[in-house]
Amino acid sequence: MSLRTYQEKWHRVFHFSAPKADHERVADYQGFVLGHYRGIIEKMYPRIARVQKALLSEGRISEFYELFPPTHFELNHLSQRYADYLRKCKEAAPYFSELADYEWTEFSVYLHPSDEIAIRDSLSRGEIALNPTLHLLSFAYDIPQWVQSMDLNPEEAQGSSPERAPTLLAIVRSPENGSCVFTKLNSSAASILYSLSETEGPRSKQTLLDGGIENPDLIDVLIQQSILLEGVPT
Amino acid sequence: MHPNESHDPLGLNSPVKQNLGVGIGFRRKFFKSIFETKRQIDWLEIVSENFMLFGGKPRRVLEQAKEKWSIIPHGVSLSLGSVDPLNPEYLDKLKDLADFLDSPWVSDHLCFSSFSGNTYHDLLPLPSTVEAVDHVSERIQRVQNKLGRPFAIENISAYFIPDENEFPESEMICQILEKADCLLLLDVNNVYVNSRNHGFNAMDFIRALPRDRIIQTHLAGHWDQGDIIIDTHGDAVVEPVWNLYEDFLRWLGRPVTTLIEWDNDIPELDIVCDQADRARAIQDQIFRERKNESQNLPREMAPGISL
Repeated sequence: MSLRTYQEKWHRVFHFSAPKADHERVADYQGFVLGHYRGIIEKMYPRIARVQKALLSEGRISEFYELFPPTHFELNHLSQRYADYLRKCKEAAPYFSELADYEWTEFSVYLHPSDEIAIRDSLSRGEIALNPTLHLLSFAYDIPQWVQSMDLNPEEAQGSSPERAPTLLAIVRSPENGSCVFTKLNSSAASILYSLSETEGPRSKQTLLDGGIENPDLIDVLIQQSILLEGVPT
Repeated sequence: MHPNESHDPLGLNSPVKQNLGVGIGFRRKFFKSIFETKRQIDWLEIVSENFMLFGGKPRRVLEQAKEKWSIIPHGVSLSLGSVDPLNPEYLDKLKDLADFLDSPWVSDHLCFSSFSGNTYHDLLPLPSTVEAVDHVSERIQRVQNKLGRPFAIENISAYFIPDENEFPESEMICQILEKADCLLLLDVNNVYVNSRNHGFNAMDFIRALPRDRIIQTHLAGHWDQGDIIIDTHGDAVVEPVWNLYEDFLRWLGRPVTTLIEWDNDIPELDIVCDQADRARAIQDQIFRERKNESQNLPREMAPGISL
């Protein structure tokens, strides 16, 4: 049997829809591989598991696997498209895909490869730049508030749902302590960020202020929340 | 000197002649305690994939750690034996990581873990065939050339012996090591697990391997379910594996870079360090005995002890 045919044989058993392998030890491997898959999704989306366990049932995970088979060499990334799956899933209320986006983004910001400390340290006094780990999420529901209440009262999370309220959320990694910082943005704050994102390189804080901003204090708030990085005097 | 340029992979000029001592896995749980402990930790092994993509705290801690210890990247997703092409993005990131750490070598497993673009995140056995040997050897050469440093393959624990085998696993390992001119990370626990699961003598397996290509070993715990042992890396090393380690060292004739591999249900750092201390004590005992023996022999008969 060629090496390719041998590997094809194995590949056929690693589907949730495949019957249990006849050979006991091959069935063991089936259990390991599909178990890794299930375990990672439960680990990466713990709030979904808490609120609506049925969305992480064997059937749902099996369906996710068939639609979005694992292709990434890094283990946690096999769950990356779970939000896309929930958007297709008719039984899942729309806020679940938004919650999945939140949970995935929280992970990816925390471990983002960019070096926000190096960028901050390269800024001259009076210069500001966007935190390179910044992710903006736009929700139809108040997902941040829902997450906060779930995290404060986990035993009351099951069956809960968020308020319908358009929400723009910024998630960054703090250069101070490496933790994620979450900030709901209003339209004024968002426009500052969009204006900065269209410019290459750092901007002078004064130039931004001179450009006419509705609420100049917002710049300092964005700096405090680590969304903007500010050059500090050496 | 790159091993591909030498037929003497652990010879005098080899960068991997050095014995790093007894190390532990650099796990998230130890990110703080490892810098605070007074326990002896000789070197660290990291799971390559945990650091290839990520910045933030893991990266910062790694930067701190590399100032104190040699760090060896040990991967799980290279999928050396797969018929899928080697992943160029993966290799680029692995090389960046190895260069960043200035690692003396890099390792991964002799297995396949992907097919048709799908990754299984598990280590699946390859059949011991001429085709597999040729296929894997060629890929290892490409990996070594890319990384610009020695590469070691690890023997896996396998719960299934392929019917397709043309010769024993130990023979396959020997052929690949020779053909690819690479090194061996001999996982002593995996040899023990396989010997129990498939009914063969563990030291017979080890004796069939080329001593001069063994650069490192792993020691780990497992889950003995009676009719099968599962290689969990989630417990202390059991006595039979310690005994096998001792027999292996006596046969090898020199100390060897050793890792205590504890990846699941990870205890506090002190408990893992206790295991490392035991491995160190075993090596010290055996090679002190040897030195004493050689000192008692007439000068012309004293064997050279290469360290």
